[in-house]
Amino acid sequence: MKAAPLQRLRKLCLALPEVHEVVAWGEPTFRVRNKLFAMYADAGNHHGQGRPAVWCKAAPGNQALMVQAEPDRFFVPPYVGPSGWVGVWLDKGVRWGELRGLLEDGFRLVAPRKILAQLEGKDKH
Amino acid sequence: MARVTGLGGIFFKAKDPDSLRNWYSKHLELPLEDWGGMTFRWRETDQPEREGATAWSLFPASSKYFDPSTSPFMINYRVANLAQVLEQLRSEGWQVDEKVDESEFGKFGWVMDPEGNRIELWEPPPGKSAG
Repeated sequence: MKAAPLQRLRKLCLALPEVHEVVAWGEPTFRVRNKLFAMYADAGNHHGQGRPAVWCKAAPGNQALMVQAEPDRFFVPPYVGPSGWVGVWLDKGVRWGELRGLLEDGFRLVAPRKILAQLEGKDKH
Repeated sequence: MARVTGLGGIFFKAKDPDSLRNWYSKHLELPLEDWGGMTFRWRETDQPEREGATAWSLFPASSKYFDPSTSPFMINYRVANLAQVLEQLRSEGWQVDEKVDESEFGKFGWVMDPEGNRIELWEPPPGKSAG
């Protein structure tokens, strides 16, 4: 059986340098120095339409492009949507390699330079 | 200063969230968003450059998010100064959660009213009143 989406998501997030997990609003959130870059939305919670998802911090403009291009996979999430975050459904058609990239992009937007340097260091190996 | 400055969100439980959501969409024409709820947007009357937002969202009946409240609803109130309001409520003897969630999306705290309804209190981040 495949790992549950939250476990896979957690693994990807925690692989980034100095990322920590904090439960907030009843859901796991992933942060670096307490700055959020990803939030899980459980299927059984109020924001999921019965489907698990992750909300990722994203650079301005990406959300509109992604949601327009693939509305079955991406959506505008509540609360953080106006700030450009992208929602990714995690129940079907998940491209985990692509998600890893999205999470890393979000992480880059919030991580301090020193921590980013650790990420660059990792990439070289 | 007023303790509460507006409504941040209305959250309530549904036995069948999908069909209830459809009812609100069809009969009250709420413009529901892909995530299943919606956000009302508005501007503050005394500072019209500041935008605000009020969320509307259904929870499945099984949700534990309102616990220990057994009510099928929870209201999020916007506050100007969360620390101050929580302190005032504590000194007045009310049951305030130890936990406060704090991030760039603001500060969140919780208290029970005398009828056992859980209340969420939200101090929006400075310079921005939308979530």
